Amino acid sequence: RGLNTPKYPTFPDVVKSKKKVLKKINLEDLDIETPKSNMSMVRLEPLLQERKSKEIKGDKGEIAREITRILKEEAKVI
Amino acid sequence: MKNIGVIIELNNGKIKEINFGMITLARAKGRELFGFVINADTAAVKDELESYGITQIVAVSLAPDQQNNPVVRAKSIIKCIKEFNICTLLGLSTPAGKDLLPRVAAFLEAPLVMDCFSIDLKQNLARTSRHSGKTIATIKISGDIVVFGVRPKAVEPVEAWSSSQIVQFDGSNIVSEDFKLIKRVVDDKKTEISLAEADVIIAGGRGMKNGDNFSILSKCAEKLNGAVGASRVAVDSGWVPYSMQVGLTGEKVSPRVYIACGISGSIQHFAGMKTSTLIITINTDNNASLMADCDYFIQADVLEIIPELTRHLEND
Repeated sequence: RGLNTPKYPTFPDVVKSKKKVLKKINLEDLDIETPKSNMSMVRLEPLLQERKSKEIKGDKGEIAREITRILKEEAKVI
Repeated sequence: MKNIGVIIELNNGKIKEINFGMITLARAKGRELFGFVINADTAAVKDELESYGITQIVAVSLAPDQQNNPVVRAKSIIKCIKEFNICTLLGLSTPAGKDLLPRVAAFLEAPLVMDCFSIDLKQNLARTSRHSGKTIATIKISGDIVVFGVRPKAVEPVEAWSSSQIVQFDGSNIVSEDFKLIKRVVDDKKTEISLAEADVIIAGGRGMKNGDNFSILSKCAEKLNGAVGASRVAVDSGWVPYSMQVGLTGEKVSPRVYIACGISGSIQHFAGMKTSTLIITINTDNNASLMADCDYFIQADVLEIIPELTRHLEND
């Protein structure tokens, strides 16, 4: 069972859906108090990332050495 | 009086490093900055809080058997908000913060934005992630009281000393009739650094093959003073606990380095770690999406590379 695999409706379900009633509710009928506070979306922008993936090649020793170098010199976490 | 309050998170009486970024964000010229410390030795943490600009430290005392009840904690913060005329409340978007801030906001009918990575306190504008990390939303909130949850490590801490006084707040009579803590299991062995605080995270996914192999990641993380994370696959397979999950429904992390081991990089996982400064991916599958969305990729078996890396770090 995959996490991103959609659940398709079965044929009987599709047929039954044609007979189902679409209930409509008006906002006024819900009798909600207007909240004192407010929240609004001012801007929505895409998060663009420009990561240029570089390959680290070699045998495991060479790879480990290169990762260590990156951690030390680039990321400065060692 | 428009006062700002921050909820300080501690671990065994010590202030977590991640608080300082939040306090830096909360500072505003000419405004009092209250720091709420629940059931801890405030005298011991006074110096640290002063160095980042807290002007009033509120030592909240709860009854010892109630101190871990999130409803009781929320009630105490709500009382503090009223007592100290707090109009802006900030906390951390950590598991503890997620249990506390929404309760406070809901009770006060105050607007809340969680997981903010930047906030303009003058206009109450917060920037946060939406659409599984694909967009940045700028949200404006307004009301008598507003609440923000700050993403750990999103703001670089900057010192700004201010003298502070400690005020006692007695919450020992606060109880919760309809929400009672029945059992609390504490993992005393857990001395590892948390995902939210770690500068380096090594995370494992399907490529780890089983739970035992995660010890390979632990050994490496130890050498780097880092934390071990996991993708949802590893958690759903029962290999590691949910607390280690990184992703949309797990922890959202921003470490300096994120090493993804055997993780394909689904949108949901990526949403949880895309703000890492440097991403290194190790996977046998060259077509895994994370291989293209990272800074460095290695096409190899993580079960061979990580032990080798650990050996290298040992000898360094």
